[in-house]
Amino acid sequence: MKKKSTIQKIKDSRITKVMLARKSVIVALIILLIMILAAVFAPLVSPYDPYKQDLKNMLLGSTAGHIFGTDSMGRDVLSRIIYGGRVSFVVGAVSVLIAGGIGMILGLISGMAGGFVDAVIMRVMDAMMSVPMIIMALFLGSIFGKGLGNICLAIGISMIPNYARVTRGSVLTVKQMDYITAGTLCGASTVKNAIDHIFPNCISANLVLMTMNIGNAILNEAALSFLGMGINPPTASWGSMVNDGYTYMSRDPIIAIVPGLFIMITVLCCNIIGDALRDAMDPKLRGTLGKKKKKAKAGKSEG
Amino acid sequence: MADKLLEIKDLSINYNTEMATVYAVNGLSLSLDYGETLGLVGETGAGKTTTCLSVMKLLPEGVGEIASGSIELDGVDIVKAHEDKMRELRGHTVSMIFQDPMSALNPVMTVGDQIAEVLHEHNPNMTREEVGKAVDNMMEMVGIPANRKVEYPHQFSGGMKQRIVIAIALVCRPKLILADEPTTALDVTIQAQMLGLIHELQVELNTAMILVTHDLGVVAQTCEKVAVMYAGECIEYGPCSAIFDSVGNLHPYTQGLFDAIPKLDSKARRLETIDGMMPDPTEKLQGCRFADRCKHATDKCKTAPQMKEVSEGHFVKCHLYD
Amino acid sequence: MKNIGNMILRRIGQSVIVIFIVTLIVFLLMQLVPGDPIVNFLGPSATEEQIAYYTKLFGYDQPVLIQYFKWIGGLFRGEMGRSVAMQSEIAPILVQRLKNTLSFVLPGFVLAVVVGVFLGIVAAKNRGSALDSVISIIANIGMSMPMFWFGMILILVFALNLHILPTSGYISIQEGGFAEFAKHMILPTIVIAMNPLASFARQTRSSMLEVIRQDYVTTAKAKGISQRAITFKHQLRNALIPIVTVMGMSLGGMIGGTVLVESIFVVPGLGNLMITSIKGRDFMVVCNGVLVISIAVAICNLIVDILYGFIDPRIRND
Repeated sequence: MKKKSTIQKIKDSRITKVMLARKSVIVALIILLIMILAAVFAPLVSPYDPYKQDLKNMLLGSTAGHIFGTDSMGRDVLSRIIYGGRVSFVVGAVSVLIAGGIGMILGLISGMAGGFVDAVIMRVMDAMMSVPMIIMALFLGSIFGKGLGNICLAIGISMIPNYARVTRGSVLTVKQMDYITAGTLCGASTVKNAIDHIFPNCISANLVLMTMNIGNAILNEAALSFLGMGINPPTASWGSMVNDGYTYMSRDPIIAIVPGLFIMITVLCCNIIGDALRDAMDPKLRGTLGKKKKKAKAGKSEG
Repeated sequence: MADKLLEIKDLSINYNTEMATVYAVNGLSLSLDYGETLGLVGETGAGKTTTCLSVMKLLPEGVGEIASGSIELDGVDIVKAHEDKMRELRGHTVSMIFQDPMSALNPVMTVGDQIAEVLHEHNPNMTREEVGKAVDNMMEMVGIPANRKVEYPHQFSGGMKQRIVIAIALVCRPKLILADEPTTALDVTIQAQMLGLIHELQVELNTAMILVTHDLGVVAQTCEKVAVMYAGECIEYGPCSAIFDSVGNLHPYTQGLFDAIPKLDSKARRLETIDGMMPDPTEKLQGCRFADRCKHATDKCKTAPQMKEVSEGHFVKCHLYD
Repeated sequence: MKNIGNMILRRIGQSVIVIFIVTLIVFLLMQLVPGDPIVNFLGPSATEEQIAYYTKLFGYDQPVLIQYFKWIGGLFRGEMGRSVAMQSEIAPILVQRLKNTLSFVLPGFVLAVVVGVFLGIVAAKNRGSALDSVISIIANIGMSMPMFWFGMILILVFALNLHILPTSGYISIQEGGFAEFAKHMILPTIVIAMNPLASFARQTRSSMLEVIRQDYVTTAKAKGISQRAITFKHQLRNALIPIVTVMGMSLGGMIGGTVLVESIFVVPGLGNLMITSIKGRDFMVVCNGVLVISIAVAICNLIVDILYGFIDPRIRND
């Protein structure tokens, strides 16, 4: 019962409506859903075993049996793409959660504590930001080592500063609001204030940032894998597939092009949804759709 | 030269938004002599600002559209006029004083440059020195020391900014100023000052003006004629004296506006208000637009009333005066 | 103007602190990286004595903090230490690599600014038209494309199929003349420019549209000035403030992108050096490389701050 009501709530909320009013969002959602489902049920969906080598049938090009061809070891590219989706989606989701989680905690501490603690945390964040994200991730990756979990960690940590800054910013704004002062006057402790009022206020901004960063995280994973510093070789990852195919590009371009295309489409869909969410949450842009609806409603009630 | 400076006939303006068409102005007719001051009165959403913008042909692009009617300004047909012709007129023949001086000035240009820009555009032959002199002159006229022309808008107070907006509007000595609620965004103490300034300059430069306001008191002080707008129509039009003298013999809406002014001698404890709201502008109404809120409404009001001259130069659009 | 001077001084002070923190963090983290540069360099056949000898030679047997302060101390004398893998001084190598990197990053940045801002203005001016949609789609794709993949496609088209440009490599002006140099730099420039170009176009479009709704644009129109003057004098100058922010932010991303571009096009630049050094555990090269990169990012931020001051008088006078 309760679950249904939350679903209904989400369905009725203005943000959902504004987002779904864009056709591109719906298309992006459908594409992503199909790709995620395919990745989750990869063993059922993929036509071949993605790890089974067949050296007699390598670099076939697009054929009826293998629509995206086979790679340099005769593995079916389509199957590897379906499995590779797992890596991309896991990295996209997990690294963003890591970044958002740690970043929000740091930002909260920084904003609430102020003074020396704030200065130290923010300077460290500045330091992290002054190193480009991908170099940061490469660097962290070399400490943690290869593998899915480590890549998530490396990419996640490299994205922390954004979240810490955004959270700290909204903490500082909220802190000055009258209702926080009122709470303090009523005897609420700093921690209680943080949990009751300030934290919920930071979440929306961070959620938007997280949605918008999923695409970036996927791109970074692909880049790391392309550079050979990402997922360990036999595991299929779109980035490493491009790298593999790159070597044979003049002979059989399709095996390098297709995985890249999948990266692009996935990231594009994530970005479209992220942008729509940001626009829907942006009070400055609220007028573009919300107002018209209100007007129509007001018109109805009067007429 | 045409005998009227501005002649608006049967003007209708629609806003075409994705959701609906908003009928902002419906069959408005107005006229204005050279040097004359007209008060355009009405509540928010009556179409006053839209009317002003249409005179300058500055309706929001792609949204606002003149559906029918004509506007003739100083002998130029505005509806048909080409954009180049309009640019010649804007700032030179007709200019506008905006409601909110805080946002009407470009924050990244010095105020002097913003005033000079109009002169440069309309007087390409003027030398830099002449323009500079004219700007200094204009700034002194609106009461700002000329040496502040190198400053940026954020360095001025609200009232000072409005003085600059006025300077921009008047620097080319236009024949017509459209003052769109020039004082609503300002402090009450500055309002009177600003109106005084506008009026003074208007007389000095012999400029006609349309003063958009919802304050009848302001109209009484500054205007020669009044037009009352309601839901995109002009429902009452006449000389200021005639309308202010014939209280009790007005359009019921205008009467309502007068009743809503607090009076010192009144014993009533509550202010009179006009019940209800303006009709939905997205619907085309057939009869009198005010009928829903009118105390005197009868079945007759389901048909549209015509403008009638009740006394000399004083027109009312109401079936009460049939 | 005095305020600007103060602001710049304050900013430089902050940057120095941040860069100092960067060096400390990187240096300490580098100790956590598994693997030893000496072992890597000498290979599996090295004897214990050899390893011990080289470790002592490079000072890697000393306590971490001593090593750190030696490095920092050396920096003040203009020395960056020696690379194990390359067996040479790091400073001249870094300078050379930085020059190679900048020879396509700077043109790429200019390309991105000019084309991106232009497309953004065109899209904003033709809002809702087919042209706007096309630009918007291009920008979205540009932001979602994996850089290495885009580079690969360009190589496939222009080098392998059309044979009008070389596949990869770097030839300096001194070696092969400007034409050869330019030929090799065209594709890297385009690839490094793509992402920032897309984001500049998007930002320009949205801030131009934001500005067009402002009252002062209506004021400008009411003055009767030309559309061109409105676009450039009133709209663009106000819209530039957020665009400049995005430009400053994207420069860091471009420097990061060199890692990918240089590995595809085999350009011996900073990004390439970073990868080989990280892979080879060449500590000191990584530390110095990160130092150079963070100095570059700090300089970019400083330029952005100064630009703000020029564009926005409200910042200048505060």
